[in-house]
Amino acid sequence: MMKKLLSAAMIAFSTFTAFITTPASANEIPILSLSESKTPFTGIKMCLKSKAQNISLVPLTEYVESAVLILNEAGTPIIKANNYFTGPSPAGYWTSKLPRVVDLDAGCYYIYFMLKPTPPGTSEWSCAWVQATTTLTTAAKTRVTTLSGSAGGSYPTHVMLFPGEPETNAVGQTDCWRGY
Amino acid sequence: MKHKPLSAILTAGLLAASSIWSVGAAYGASSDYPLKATGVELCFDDKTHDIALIPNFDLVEMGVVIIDKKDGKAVVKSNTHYKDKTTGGYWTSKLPQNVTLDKGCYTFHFMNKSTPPNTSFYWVCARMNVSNGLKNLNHKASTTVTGLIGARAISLAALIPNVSSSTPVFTNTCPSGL
Repeated sequence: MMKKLLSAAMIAFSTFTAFITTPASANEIPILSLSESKTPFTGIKMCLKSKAQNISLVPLTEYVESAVLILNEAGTPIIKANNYFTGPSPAGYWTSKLPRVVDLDAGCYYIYFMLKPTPPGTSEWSCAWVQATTTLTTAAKTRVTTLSGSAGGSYPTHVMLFPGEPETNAVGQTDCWRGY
Repeated sequence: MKHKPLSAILTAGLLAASSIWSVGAAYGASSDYPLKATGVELCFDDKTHDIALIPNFDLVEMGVVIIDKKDGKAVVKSNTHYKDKTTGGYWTSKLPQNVTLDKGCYTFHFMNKSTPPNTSFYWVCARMNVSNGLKNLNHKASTTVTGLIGARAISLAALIPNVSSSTPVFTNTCPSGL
């Protein structure tokens, strides 16, 4: 009887320790659902269960024109922020300046990080490659989701930081808005 | 009386389990981590280029300190209000910036003052959060480290185009800054 109890206790204990020493990734909420695609993603679709506040949109490049475009699920742009925006103009496409902080209501959004390889007013827009991570829940008890854009796959060009996490897996997009 | 040894064993087992649970929590597997977690140690098996260090607040002084574990020396001491080498003091570079780290283990600290620069207020360290280096949409695994002030204010971030070769370890140390 004693042996059985001890054996059961040992099994329970080893199961428990196996669980808690599982790599942290086992507890990570997957944010990406198309990680096996062979095409670089130039945008991302992400859904929020509740309103997200204090989302930071930060350009990481200087001297070149840089922008963040966020569309709602219907495809209507709701954030058109450009680091060279100086004010509204009748013919202008962009409506706010980078860096900035925005709030997003619950819902789904398409997000694009865009840049030109040259100073403003010249050349065509291109979209950065989008990457995404959500932090583990640790001391801060608040997950932080980071979307970042990069040129050439690694050099960081934009970042979007928000406290919280998407409701569902983010989905990569392969289109790129034209901008103006 | 015969059951006493068994209960003692089980109690010891539970105590051991709870101790290991605490270790598990330090690895980010739990939602409750007992320390302040004002630093996080990451290890890289190869040289990592283009680590972006990004301050997220205006007006207040902010700093990033990265300490090389092998000798305890700070290899990055970067401050939003750093101007040049002649200003003296502790800081050696300006934020935002991109840095390169050789292979090895490093502790990241994100710091800020609650006031504009050059005041006598002490530095405080943000609470650190780290992703586990998921493979991203473009097939490159990356890690993000973020600092939080208060409940949900993101103060600083580091975008690291690499993955820690060991599980991140949180510390409750905080450099004093100057």
